[in-house]
Amino acid sequence: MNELKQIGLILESLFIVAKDGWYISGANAIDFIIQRRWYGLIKSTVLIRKNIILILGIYFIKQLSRREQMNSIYKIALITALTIFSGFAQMGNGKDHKDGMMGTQQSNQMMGNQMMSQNMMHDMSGMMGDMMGMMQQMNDMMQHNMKSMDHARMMDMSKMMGDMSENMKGMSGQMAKGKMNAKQMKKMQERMSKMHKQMESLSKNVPEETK
Amino acid sequence: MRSIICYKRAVFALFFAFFSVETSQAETGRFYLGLNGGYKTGSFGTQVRSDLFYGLSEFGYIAARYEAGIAVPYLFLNNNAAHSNSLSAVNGIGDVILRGGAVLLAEGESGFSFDGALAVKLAAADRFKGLGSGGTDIGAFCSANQRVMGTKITFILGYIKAGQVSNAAFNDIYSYGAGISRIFGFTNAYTSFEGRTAMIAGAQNPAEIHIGAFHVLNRRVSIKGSLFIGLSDGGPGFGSEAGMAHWF
Repeated sequence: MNELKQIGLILESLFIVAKDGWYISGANAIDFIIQRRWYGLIKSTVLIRKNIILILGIYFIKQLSRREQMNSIYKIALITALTIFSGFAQMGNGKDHKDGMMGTQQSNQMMGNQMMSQNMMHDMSGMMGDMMGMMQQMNDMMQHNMKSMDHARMMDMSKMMGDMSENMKGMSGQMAKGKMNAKQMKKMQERMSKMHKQMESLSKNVPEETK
Repeated sequence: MRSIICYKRAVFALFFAFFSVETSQAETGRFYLGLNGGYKTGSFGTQVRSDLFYGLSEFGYIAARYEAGIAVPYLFLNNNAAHSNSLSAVNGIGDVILRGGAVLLAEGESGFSFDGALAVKLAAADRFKGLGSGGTDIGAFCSANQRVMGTKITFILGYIKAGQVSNAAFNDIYSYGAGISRIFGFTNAYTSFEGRTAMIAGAQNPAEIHIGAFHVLNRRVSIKGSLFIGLSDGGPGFGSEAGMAHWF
Protein backbone atom coordinates (compact mmCIF):
# COMPACT_ATOMS: atom_id res chain seq x y z
CA MET A 1 0.00 0.00 0.00
CA ASN A 2 2.83 2.34 0.87
CA GLU A 3 4.49 1.56 -2.45
CA LEU A 4 1.32 2.42 -4.35
CA LYS A 5 1.03 5.61 -2.43
CA GLN A 6 4.63 6.44 -3.21
CA ILE A 7 4.12 5.72 -6.93
CA GLY A 8 1.01 7.83 -6.93
CA LEU A 9 2.86 10.57 -5.11
CA ILE A 10 5.71 10.44 -7.60
CA LEU A 11 3.36 10.62 -10.57
CA GLU A 12 1.51 13.46 -9.00
CA SER A 13 4.77 15.12 -8.13
CA LEU A 14 6.05 14.75 -11.65
CA PHE A 15 2.93 16.37 -12.95
CA ILE A 16 3.20 19.23 -10.46
CA VAL A 17 6.90 19.58 -10.97
CA ALA A 18 6.22 19.99 -14.61
CA LYS A 19 4.10 22.94 -13.62
CA ASP A 20 6.05 24.28 -10.61
CA GLY A 21 8.86 22.50 -8.82
CA TRP A 22 8.28 24.34 -5.56
CA TYR A 23 4.88 22.99 -4.74
CA ILE A 24 5.28 19.42 -3.65
CA SER A 25 8.77 19.83 -2.17
CA GLY A 26 7.69 22.91 -0.25
CA ALA A 27 4.64 21.13 1.10
CA ASN A 28 6.81 18.24 2.27
CA ALA A 29 9.26 20.57 3.99
CA ILE A 30 6.57 22.57 5.79
CA ASP A 31 4.83 19.42 6.90
CA PHE A 32 8.13 18.11 8.18
CA ILE A 33 9.08 21.28 10.08
CA ILE A 34 5.84 21.34 12.03
CA GLN A 35 6.15 17.68 12.98
CA ARG A 36 8.47 18.42 15.94
CA ARG A 37 9.26 14.77 16.44
CA TRP A 38 12.60 13.45 17.50
CA TYR A 39 12.63 10.97 14.64
CA GLY A 40 12.64 13.87 12.25
CA LEU A 41 15.81 12.72 10.58
CA ILE A 42 14.14 9.52 9.47
CA LYS A 43 11.34 11.52 7.95
CA SER A 44 13.75 13.89 6.27
CA THR A 45 15.58 10.97 4.61
CA VAL A 46 12.27 9.78 3.21
CA LEU A 47 11.59 13.21 1.85
CA ILE A 48 15.10 13.44 0.44
CA ARG A 49 14.52 10.14 -1.31
CA LYS A 50 11.27 11.41 -2.75
CA ASN A 51 12.91 14.57 -3.96
CA ILE A 52 15.73 12.63 -5.62
CA ILE A 53 13.12 10.59 -7.44
CA LEU A 54 11.48 13.80 -8.51
CA ILE A 55 14.77 15.14 -9.79
CA LEU A 56 15.43 11.95 -11.74
CA GLY A 57 11.91 12.01 -13.07
CA ILE A 58 12.37 15.45 -14.47
CA TYR A 59 14.98 14.18 -16.87
CA PHE A 60 12.35 11.93 -18.42
CA ILE A 61 9.89 14.73 -18.98
CA LYS A 62 10.63 15.64 -22.54
CA GLN A 63 7.94 18.26 -22.77
CA LEU A 64 9.93 20.68 -20.55
CA SER A 65 12.60 22.84 -22.03
CA ARG A 66 16.15 22.65 -20.76
CA ARG A 67 15.74 25.92 -18.89
CA GLU A 68 12.54 24.79 -17.23
CA GLN A 69 14.15 21.51 -16.25
CA MET A 70 17.12 23.24 -14.56
CA ASN A 71 14.87 25.70 -12.76
CA SER A 72 12.81 22.83 -11.34
CA ILE A 73 15.93 20.97 -10.29
CA TYR A 74 17.34 24.02 -8.55
CA LYS A 75 14.11 24.53 -6.64
CA ILE A 76 13.87 20.92 -5.58
CA ALA A 77 17.53 20.89 -4.55
CA LEU A 78 16.96 23.98 -2.41
CA ILE A 79 13.94 22.45 -0.72
CA THR A 80 15.90 19.24 -0.20
CA ALA A 81 18.63 21.21 1.53
CA LEU A 82 16.04 22.86 3.76
CA THR A 83 14.54 19.51 4.67
CA ILE A 84 17.99 18.14 5.51
CA PHE A 85 18.62 21.14 7.75
CA SER A 86 15.21 20.75 9.37
CA GLY A 87 15.85 17.06 9.83
CA PHE A 88 19.07 17.70 11.71
CA ALA A 89 17.40 20.42 13.72
CA GLN A 90 14.63 18.05 14.74
CA MET A 91 17.16 15.34 15.45
CA GLY A 92 19.00 17.87 17.61
CA ASN A 93 15.86 18.32 19.70
CA GLY A 94 15.54 14.58 19.89
CA LYS A 95 19.13 14.30 21.12
CA ASP A 96 18.35 16.75 23.88
CA HIS A 97 15.23 14.81 24.64
CA LYS A 98 17.28 11.73 25.57
CA ASP A 99 20.66 13.09 26.62
CA GLY A 100 18.99 15.80 28.68
CA MET A 101 17.05 13.21 30.64
CA MET A 102 19.74 12.89 33.31
CA GLY A 103 19.46 16.57 34.19
CA THR A 104 15.65 16.38 34.09
CA GLN A 105 15.57 13.17 36.14
CA GLN A 106 18.01 14.64 38.66
CA SER A 107 15.55 17.46 39.29
CA ASN A 108 12.53 15.15 39.30
CA GLN A 109 14.25 12.77 41.71
CA MET A 110 15.00 15.60 44.10
CA MET A 111 11.39 16.76 43.91
CA GLY A 112 9.99 13.28 44.35
CA ASN A 113 12.33 12.61 47.25
CA GLN A 114 11.05 15.56 49.27
CA MET A 115 8.92 13.64 51.75
CA MET A 116 11.43 10.89 52.41
CA SER A 117 14.12 13.51 52.92
CA GLN A 118 11.84 15.52 55.21
CA ASN A 119 11.00 12.46 57.29
CA MET A 120 14.67 11.61 57.60
CA MET A 121 15.60 15.12 58.77
CA HIS A 122 12.76 15.02 61.30
CA ASP A 123 14.01 11.68 62.64
CA MET A 124 17.54 13.06 62.74
CA SER A 125 16.42 16.12 64.65
CA GLY A 126 14.45 13.96 67.08
CA MET A 127 17.43 11.67 67.61
CA MET A 128 19.67 14.66 68.33
CA GLY A 129 17.10 15.92 70.80
CA ASP A 130 17.14 12.52 72.52
CA MET A 131 20.94 12.65 72.60
CA MET A 132 20.89 16.08 74.22
CA GLY A 133 18.38 14.84 76.77
CA MET A 134 20.56 11.84 77.58
CA MET A 135 23.63 14.02 77.98
CA GLN A 136 21.75 16.25 80.38
CA GLN A 137 20.66 13.22 82.37
CA MET A 138 24.23 11.93 82.52
CA ASN A 139 25.40 15.31 83.78
CA ASP A 140 22.79 15.26 86.52
CA MET A 141 23.78 11.73 87.52
CA MET A 142 27.43 12.65 87.74
CA GLN A 143 26.68 15.57 90.03
CA HIS A 144 24.51 13.37 92.23
CA ASN A 145 27.26 10.76 92.49
CA MET A 146 29.81 13.39 93.34
CA LYS A 147 27.67 14.55 96.27
CA SER A 148 27.34 10.99 97.47
CA MET A 149 31.11 10.57 97.35
CA ASP A 150 31.51 13.79 99.34
CA HIS A 151 29.31 12.28 102.01
CA ALA A 152 31.47 9.15 102.14
CA ARG A 153 34.60 11.24 102.43
CA MET A 154 33.00 13.29 105.14
CA MET A 155 32.27 10.11 107.06
CA ASP A 156 35.91 8.97 106.71
CA MET A 157 37.07 12.36 107.82
CA SER A 158 34.78 12.29 110.83
CA LYS A 159 36.00 8.81 111.93
CA MET A 160 39.59 9.91 111.55
CA MET A 161 39.02 12.98 113.66
CA GLY A 162 37.44 10.76 116.30
CA ASP A 163 40.52 8.50 116.35
CA MET A 164 42.77 11.54 116.53
CA SER A 165 40.91 12.97 119.52
CA GLU A 166 41.11 9.62 121.36
CA ASN A 167 44.88 9.48 120.75
CA MET A 168 45.33 13.03 121.95
CA LYS A 169 43.27 12.29 125.08
CA GLY A 170 45.38 9.25 125.88
CA MET A 171 48.57 11.21 125.22
CA SER A 172 47.57 14.06 127.49
CA GLY A 173 46.67 11.55 130.20
CA GLN A 174 50.06 9.89 129.91
CA MET A 175 51.85 13.22 129.90
CA ALA A 176 49.91 14.28 133.01
CA LYS A 177 51.01 11.15 134.86
CA GLY A 178 54.55 11.76 133.63
CA LYS A 179 54.70 8.35 132.10
CA MET A 180 55.31 9.41 128.42
CA ASN A 181 58.80 8.55 127.37
CA ALA A 182 60.62 9.67 124.23
CA LYS A 183 59.85 6.49 122.30
CA GLN A 184 56.16 6.71 123.05
CA MET A 185 56.18 10.42 122.20
CA LYS A 186 57.81 9.74 118.81
CA LYS A 187 55.33 6.99 118.04
CA MET A 188 52.45 9.29 118.93
CA GLN A 189 53.84 12.08 116.71
CA GLU A 190 54.16 9.71 113.74
CA ARG A 191 50.57 8.63 114.17
CA MET A 192 49.37 12.23 114.33
CA SER A 193 51.40 13.15 111.25
CA LYS A 194 49.88 10.27 109.27
CA MET A 195 46.40 11.29 110.28
CA HIS A 196 47.12 14.88 109.32
CA LYS A 197 48.16 13.84 105.82
CA GLN A 198 45.03 11.75 105.38
CA MET A 199 42.93 14.69 106.45
CA GLU A 200 44.63 16.92 103.89
CA SER A 201 44.02 14.36 101.14
CA LEU A 202 40.32 14.15 101.89
CA SER A 203 40.05 17.92 101.99
CA LYS A 204 41.65 18.41 98.52
CA ASN A 205 39.24 15.94 96.79
CA VAL A 206 36.12 17.81 97.82
CA PRO A 207 34.69 19.49 94.60
CA GLU A 208 34.11 23.25 94.27
CA GLU A 209 30.29 22.99 94.16
CA THR A 210 30.11 21.56 97.72
CA LYS A 211 32.53 24.05 99.38
CA MET B 1 1.77 33.94 32.37
CA ARG B 2 -1.43 34.31 34.35
CA SER B 3 -1.29 30.65 35.31
CA ILE B 4 2.27 31.12 36.59
CA ILE B 5 1.17 34.09 38.71
CA CYS B 6 -1.77 32.08 40.08
CA TYR B 7 0.53 29.19 40.97
CA LYS B 8 2.97 31.53 42.71
CA ARG B 9 0.17 33.09 44.74
CA ALA B 10 -1.11 29.66 45.71
CA VAL B 11 2.35 28.55 46.78
CA PHE B 12 2.95 31.65 48.90
CA ALA B 13 -0.49 31.34 50.49
CA LEU B 14 0.06 27.72 51.42
CA PHE B 15 3.55 28.42 52.78
CA PHE B 16 2.09 31.24 54.91
CA ALA B 17 -0.71 28.99 56.11
CA PHE B 18 1.75 26.31 57.17
CA PHE B 19 3.97 28.67 59.10
CA SER B 20 1.16 30.71 60.68
CA VAL B 21 -0.32 27.63 62.33
CA GLU B 22 2.44 27.50 64.95
CA THR B 23 3.16 31.18 65.53
CA SER B 24 1.24 31.17 68.80
CA GLN B 25 3.29 28.29 70.19
CA ALA B 26 6.79 28.43 71.52
CA GLU B 27 8.56 26.23 68.97
CA THR B 28 12.17 25.34 69.54
CA GLY B 29 13.70 24.34 66.24
CA ARG B 30 17.18 24.14 64.83
CA PHE B 31 18.85 25.30 61.69
CA TYR B 32 20.99 22.90 59.72
CA LEU B 33 23.50 23.14 56.90
CA GLY B 34 23.99 20.02 54.82
CA LEU B 35 26.76 19.25 52.34
CA ASN B 36 26.41 16.18 50.13
CA GLY B 37 28.09 14.66 47.13
CA GLY B 38 26.69 12.04 44.80
CA TYR B 39 26.97 10.07 41.59
CA LYS B 40 24.30 8.85 39.18
CA THR B 41 24.58 6.93 35.94
CA GLY B 42 22.10 5.74 33.35
CA SER B 43 21.53 5.24 29.64
CA PHE B 44 17.75 5.74 29.59
CA GLY B 45 17.39 3.03 26.95
CA THR B 46 19.70 4.75 24.44
CA GLN B 47 23.26 4.26 23.21
CA VAL B 48 24.35 7.26 25.24
CA ARG B 49 25.43 6.72 28.85
CA SER B 50 25.10 9.72 31.12
CA ASP B 51 27.26 10.04 34.25
CA LEU B 52 26.37 12.73 36.72
CA PHE B 53 28.55 13.88 39.60
CA TYR B 54 26.98 16.48 41.82
CA GLY B 55 27.45 18.47 44.95
CA LEU B 56 24.35 19.34 46.91
CA SER B 57 24.13 22.02 49.57
CA GLU B 58 21.08 22.25 51.80
CA PHE B 59 20.03 24.81 54.35
CA GLY B 60 16.91 24.55 56.43
CA TYR B 61 15.09 24.84 59.69
CA ILE B 62 13.30 22.04 61.51
CA ALA B 63 10.93 22.48 64.41
CA ALA B 64 8.65 19.98 66.04
CA ARG B 65 5.65 20.75 63.83
CA TYR B 66 7.07 22.33 60.69
CA GLU B 67 10.18 22.70 58.60
CA ALA B 68 11.51 24.62 55.60
CA GLY B 69 14.57 24.32 53.46
CA ILE B 70 16.38 25.06 50.24
CA ALA B 71 18.53 22.71 48.17
CA VAL B 72 21.04 23.92 45.59
CA PRO B 73 22.88 21.35 43.47
CA TYR B 74 25.88 21.81 41.21
CA LEU B 75 26.14 19.29 38.42
CA PHE B 76 28.94 17.77 36.38
CA LEU B 77 27.37 15.80 33.51
CA ASN B 78 29.22 13.54 31.09
CA ASN B 79 27.46 11.97 28.10
CA ASN B 80 29.32 9.08 26.50
CA ALA B 81 28.02 7.88 23.11
CA ALA B 82 29.10 4.26 22.73
CA HIS B 83 28.60 4.01 18.97
CA SER B 84 30.71 7.03 18.18
CA ASN B 85 32.98 6.88 21.23
CA SER B 86 32.41 10.58 21.73
CA LEU B 87 32.23 12.31 25.10
CA SER B 88 30.59 15.56 25.99
CA ALA B 89 30.99 17.18 29.38
CA VAL B 90 28.99 20.06 30.80
CA ASN B 91 28.65 21.51 34.26
CA GLY B 92 26.58 24.11 35.95
CA ILE B 93 24.13 24.81 38.68
CA GLY B 94 21.13 22.50 38.83
CA ASP B 95 17.51 23.31 39.49
CA VAL B 96 16.99 24.85 42.95
CA ILE B 97 14.30 23.42 45.20
CA LEU B 98 12.43 25.35 47.88
CA ARG B 99 10.50 23.23 50.34
CA GLY B 100 8.16 23.77 53.24
CA GLY B 101 6.41 21.13 55.27
CA ALA B 102 4.28 20.66 58.33
CA VAL B 103 3.17 17.89 60.65
CA LEU B 104 -0.57 17.83 60.05
CA LEU B 105 -1.20 15.05 62.56
CA ALA B 106 1.40 14.56 65.26
CA GLU B 107 2.44 11.10 66.34
CA GLY B 108 0.42 10.04 69.33
CA GLU B 109 0.16 6.90 71.35
CA SER B 110 -1.03 5.00 68.28
CA GLY B 111 2.23 5.84 66.51
CA PHE B 112 0.43 7.24 63.46
CA SER B 113 1.37 10.63 62.00
CA PHE B 114 0.54 12.54 58.82
CA ASP B 115 2.77 15.12 57.16
CA GLY B 116 2.34 17.48 54.24
CA ALA B 117 4.77 19.50 52.15
CA LEU B 118 4.94 21.90 49.26
CA ALA B 119 7.95 22.29 46.99
CA VAL B 120 8.88 24.61 44.16
CA LYS B 121 11.57 23.68 41.66
CA LEU B 122 13.10 26.82 40.20
CA ALA B 123 14.51 26.51 36.69
CA ALA B 124 18.01 27.60 37.57
CA ALA B 125 19.71 24.98 35.38
CA ASP B 126 20.66 25.53 31.76
CA ARG B 127 18.30 23.24 29.84
CA PHE B 128 20.27 23.65 26.61
CA LYS B 129 23.17 21.92 28.34
CA GLY B 130 20.79 19.20 29.48
CA LEU B 131 21.12 20.07 33.14
CA GLY B 132 17.43 20.62 33.78
CA SER B 133 13.98 20.69 32.24
CA GLY B 134 13.88 24.47 31.94
CA GLY B 135 10.50 24.78 33.60
CA THR B 136 9.41 25.83 37.08
CA ASP B 137 7.61 22.95 38.78
CA ILE B 138 5.31 23.08 41.78
CA GLY B 139 4.74 19.98 43.86
CA ALA B 140 2.51 18.93 46.73
CA PHE B 141 3.28 15.86 48.82
CA CYS B 142 1.90 13.99 51.78
CA SER B 143 3.10 11.07 53.84
CA ALA B 144 1.41 8.74 56.26
CA ASN B 145 3.69 7.23 58.93
CA GLN B 146 3.06 4.39 61.34
CA ARG B 147 5.58 3.62 64.06
CA VAL B 148 5.56 0.10 65.45
CA MET B 149 8.03 -0.19 68.36
CA GLY B 150 11.35 0.93 66.85
CA THR B 151 10.27 0.61 63.21
CA LYS B 152 8.55 3.26 61.12
CA ILE B 153 6.56 2.53 57.96
CA THR B 154 5.93 5.38 55.55
CA PHE B 155 3.65 5.79 52.51
CA ILE B 156 4.06 8.79 50.25
CA LEU B 157 1.98 10.38 47.48
CA GLY B 158 2.77 13.48 45.51
CA TYR B 159 1.73 15.58 42.53
CA ILE B 160 4.07 17.80 40.55
CA LYS B 161 2.74 20.39 38.13
CA ALA B 162 5.44 20.47 35.47
CA GLY B 163 6.45 23.84 34.13
CA GLN B 164 6.18 24.06 30.36
CA VAL B 165 8.85 25.31 27.97
CA SER B 166 8.84 26.14 24.30
CA ASN B 167 9.35 23.29 21.82
CA ALA B 168 8.60 20.69 24.50
CA ALA B 169 5.51 19.31 26.14
CA PHE B 170 5.92 17.91 29.65
CA ASN B 171 3.39 15.80 31.50
CA ASP B 172 2.51 16.42 35.10
CA ILE B 173 4.10 13.92 37.46
CA TYR B 174 2.50 11.70 40.07
CA SER B 175 4.97 10.39 42.63
CA TYR B 176 4.50 7.53 45.04
CA GLY B 177 6.60 5.54 47.45
CA ALA B 178 6.79 3.32 50.47
CA GLY B 179 9.59 3.00 52.99
CA ILE B 180 10.59 1.39 56.23
CA SER B 181 13.15 2.64 58.74
CA ARG B 182 14.51 1.41 62.05
CA ILE B 183 16.59 2.99 64.77
CA PHE B 184 19.67 1.27 66.15
CA GLY B 185 21.09 3.41 68.95
CA PHE B 186 22.04 6.67 67.24
CA THR B 187 21.82 5.18 63.75
CA ASN B 188 18.74 5.08 61.56
CA ALA B 189 18.70 2.67 58.62
CA TYR B 190 16.02 2.79 55.95
CA THR B 191 14.97 1.30 52.66
CA SER B 192 12.32 2.58 50.30
CA PHE B 193 10.70 2.15 46.92
CA GLU B 194 10.09 5.42 45.08
CA GLY B 195 8.47 5.91 41.71
CA ARG B 196 6.87 8.57 39.58
CA THR B 197 5.15 8.88 36.23
CA ALA B 198 7.16 9.94 33.19
CA MET B 199 7.51 13.62 32.45
CA ILE B 200 8.06 13.03 28.74
CA ALA B 201 5.45 11.27 26.65
CA GLY B 202 6.53 7.83 25.55
CA ALA B 203 9.24 7.46 28.20
CA GLN B 204 9.12 4.76 30.85
CA ASN B 205 8.04 5.61 34.37
CA PRO B 206 11.12 5.97 36.61
CA ALA B 207 11.30 3.84 39.73
CA GLU B 208 14.10 3.15 42.21
CA ILE B 209 14.92 1.14 45.31
CA HIS B 210 16.76 3.24 47.90
CA ILE B 211 18.88 2.01 50.80
CA GLY B 212 20.49 4.36 53.27
CA ALA B 213 21.31 5.31 56.81
CA PHE B 214 22.24 8.28 58.93
CA HIS B 215 24.22 8.41 62.16
CA VAL B 216 24.23 11.13 64.79
CA LEU B 217 27.83 11.75 65.84
CA ASN B 218 27.07 14.34 68.48
CA ARG B 219 24.49 16.98 69.18
CA ARG B 220 25.75 19.09 66.26
CA VAL B 221 26.91 16.77 63.51
CA SER B 222 25.28 13.91 61.69
CA ILE B 223 26.42 11.92 58.68
CA LYS B 224 24.39 10.06 56.08
CA GLY B 225 24.83 7.81 53.09
CA SER B 226 22.56 6.16 50.57
CA LEU B 227 22.44 4.39 47.26
CA PHE B 228 19.69 3.53 44.82
CA ILE B 229 19.12 1.07 42.02
CA GLY B 230 16.95 2.04 39.07
CA LEU B 231 14.18 -0.33 38.04
CA SER B 232 13.42 1.12 34.59
CA ASP B 233 15.03 2.98 31.71
CA GLY B 234 12.96 6.03 32.58
CA GLY B 235 15.40 7.02 35.30
CA PRO B 236 19.05 6.60 36.27
CA GLY B 237 20.28 3.04 36.65
CA PHE B 238 22.39 3.50 39.77
CA GLY B 239 23.33 6.24 42.16
CA SER B 240 24.94 6.90 45.50
CA GLU B 241 25.20 9.87 47.83
CA ALA B 242 27.01 10.72 51.05
CA GLY B 243 26.99 13.80 53.17
CA MET B 244 26.92 15.45 56.54
CA ALA B 245 24.72 17.97 58.30
CA HIS B 246 25.81 20.54 60.85
CA TRP B 247 23.10 21.66 63.25
CA PHE B 248 23.06 25.06 64.88
